[in-house]
Amino acid sequence: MVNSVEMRGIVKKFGTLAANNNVDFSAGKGEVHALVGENGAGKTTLMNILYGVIAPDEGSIQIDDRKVHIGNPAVAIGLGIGMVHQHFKLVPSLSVAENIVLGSEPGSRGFFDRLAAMRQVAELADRFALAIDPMATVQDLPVGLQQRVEILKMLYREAKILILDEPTAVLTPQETEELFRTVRNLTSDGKTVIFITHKLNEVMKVSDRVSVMRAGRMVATLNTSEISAAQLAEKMVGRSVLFQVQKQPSEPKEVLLEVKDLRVMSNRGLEAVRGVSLQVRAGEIVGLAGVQGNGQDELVEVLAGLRRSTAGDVLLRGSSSKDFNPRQVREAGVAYIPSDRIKVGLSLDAAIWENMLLGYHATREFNRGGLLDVGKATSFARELISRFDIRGAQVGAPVKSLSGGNQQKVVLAREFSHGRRVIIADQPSRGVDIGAIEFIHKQLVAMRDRGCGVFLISADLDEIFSLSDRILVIFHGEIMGELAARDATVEEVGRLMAGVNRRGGDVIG
Amino acid sequence: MNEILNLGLITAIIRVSTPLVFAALGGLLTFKAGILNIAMDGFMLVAAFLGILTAYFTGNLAWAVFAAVLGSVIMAILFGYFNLKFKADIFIAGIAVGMLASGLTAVLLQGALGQTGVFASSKIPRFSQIQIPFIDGIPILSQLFSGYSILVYLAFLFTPVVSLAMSRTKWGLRVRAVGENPDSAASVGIDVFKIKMETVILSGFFCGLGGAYLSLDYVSLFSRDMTADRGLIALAAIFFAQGNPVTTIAVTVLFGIAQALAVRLQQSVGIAPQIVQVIPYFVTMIALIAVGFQTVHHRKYQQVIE
Ligand SMILES: Nc1ncnc2c1ncn2[C@@H]1O[C@H](COP(=O)(O)OP(=O)(O)OP(=O)(O)O)[C@@H](O)[C@H]1O
Ligand SMILES: [Mg+2]
Repeated sequence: MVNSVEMRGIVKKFGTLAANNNVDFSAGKGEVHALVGENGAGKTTLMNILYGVIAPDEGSIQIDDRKVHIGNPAVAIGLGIGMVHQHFKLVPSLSVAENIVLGSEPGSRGFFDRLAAMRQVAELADRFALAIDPMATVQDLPVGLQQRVEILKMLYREAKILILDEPTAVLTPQETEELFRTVRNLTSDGKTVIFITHKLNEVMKVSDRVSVMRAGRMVATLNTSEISAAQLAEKMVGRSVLFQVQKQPSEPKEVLLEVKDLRVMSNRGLEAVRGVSLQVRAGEIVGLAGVQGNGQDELVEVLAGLRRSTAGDVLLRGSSSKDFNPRQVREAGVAYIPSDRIKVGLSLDAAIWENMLLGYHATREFNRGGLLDVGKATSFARELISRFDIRGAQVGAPVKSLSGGNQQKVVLAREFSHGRRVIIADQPSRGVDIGAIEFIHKQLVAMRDRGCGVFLISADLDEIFSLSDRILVIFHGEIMGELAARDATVEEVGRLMAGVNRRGGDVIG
Repeated sequence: MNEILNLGLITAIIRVSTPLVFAALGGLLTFKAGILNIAMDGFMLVAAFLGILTAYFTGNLAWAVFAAVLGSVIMAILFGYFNLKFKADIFIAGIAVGMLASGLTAVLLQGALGQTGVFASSKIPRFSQIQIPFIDGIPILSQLFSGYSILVYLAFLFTPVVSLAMSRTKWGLRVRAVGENPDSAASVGIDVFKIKMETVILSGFFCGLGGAYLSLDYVSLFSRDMTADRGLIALAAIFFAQGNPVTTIAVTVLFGIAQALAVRLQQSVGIAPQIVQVIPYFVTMIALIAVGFQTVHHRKYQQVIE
């Protein structure tokens, strides 16, 4: 096979920490090459080096057998390298077309030819069967489409080597399927796709070869067909991993969280939640399944105090919490793990210990004489760092110095550790590695057994099935059905998610 | 009589607004690039001083304006380097440039011109008043729109230019991208430092014209700290207009109206001059409070989470 990318002896140190420690990596022309490893293993760092975002301390790179020096992304783009970052790099207020052409805009004499941009983008979208409205404003798009914009951005620049950093973390199963189809189209076009993921079934499904990183080193590169998911997991973590969490049947007690006939508007002024009622009892995990964009986000935001409802009520332990602000929600005993932890859950420039205290900074526990008890807060943070195995974390360092998955763990650690009774977990395992998923799942079950009520929202059906005691399915802002997890089947839930009713089979909405 | 008064008022408004418009044009560019440009008063002050100095020694207004713009641009480059290259906090950089400008002009005022507070001289030439050919004969129109200096016309002509540059050029698109999400701009190969620096330099250019106007046209003298926070007031107008060029200029003209009216009131009704001096700040404050409310309102009903 012809190698289109060859990286040799790459070293990158952040202070004393070697994020990449003498790493060799190569990817062939026309291949899908998966890159896996625990949170903080150094995957993003390696790819950022290839894309010219980070300068390596040592090592060499060859593209198409030619030695190159990639000093900045402009050079990488010139060499036909494109990257979709773990956290999208889009300009929210600009249109799809503007985002795609940004940096190499059509037009003459300095003028920007908006119409030509629209036309070119439409053509491109057509050619790669990636339907999108070039005129839409990026901030109005669901994540799946935002990602499409990112991919089109690379294709517009005629990238031959496409790096996708955890592209599926934010996608629904359907969107993931579409992405895989796109990936296959691209490789049959002779393009190279490097694909970072934590989901081993995706590795098995879409990749030709897989490289495994652990603690800054490359530990193996294998042909996907010659290995199983379990073996791969062991290579990643260095021990065997449980894919299914063990749990006893639930013993639900009093109702902790109750939603009554709730109606909520979306940002676009449409009714996103249309009369939802549900209960979460102490000692149970209630899973909410549904294709993203069916009102889950709006529902959760109301529960977290981030959005107002237009009708209905939310009760916490029997008393109304309607129109509570986030602080009141917390004080009423609710922990909230937002799905977009970077935007909603963290302050990236603030220190790790500060982030671990967010929302609880005013409690008596962490205050002494009207001042923050920094000593106590930092030792509390240190304890969480070791308990949640947050790699590469120094209590005083800003959260943004952590790897993507470890940033997520900071939020989880905080929300699990302040003795809340109700836990709203929105996509809790998004972006974290398999070892961490196992840990998070165990934690959620442990919380349940301690008498917490857990409301789990997930686009990942495996997660819903392995954790929930009861499953609710949402479609077009309405609860389509409720199933006991014991006798629910994936097919049935899938049907409800698509809006197909249990008995009739007719589509509603 | 009444009509004359009204026409005069409009002339006054245009003249009062001009320096604000220049500052607002400069500030708009940096605002779009995501830079809080609090150094514009410093730029303008240096320009005002160099304008007077050069006009006094050469007797040539073109050289005076050139020197003013050059000085202002150099201050802008200084500010840009402090903030963008050496990563100084924007407030520190802004305050440093402001103090440098204030101190430097005061020292040079004494050193080069031998004055401590104010410098004026009959040797300083005045701008000629431009008569606009087509409307020359028409009574009200010619009174309103003819007879200003070249700088006044430039200020208002540059307004659509800046607006178009922002919305229609590649550069404008890049500036907006850099201002909103520098990471994303960098990731498509845009040189963020360069783009930001360009807007800072252009803000220096516009402030240079603004400063030259202040000392050479609006009044024909230099006095210490004579910009009277016009840079900050322009910044307030930009925030109030949320960076929309046309609205921004409209708001600066509104500020101009408030000030021109106040001066009239002082002359005719005789209210205390101190009160008049407070008016621009007062109007600015009201505007900013309005922005504050607007933002809170926006948050409440639209929800911040995108
Ligand atoms: N700018 C930085 N400053 C300091 N440390 C950093 C920086 N960027 C990354 N690191 C550290 O380097 C290590 C590797 O990070 P990297 O982002 O490459 O991990 P990753 O394999 O992509 O993990 P994840 O799966 O969580 O995204 C981490 O320990 C991280 O904390
Ligand atoms: Mg990563």
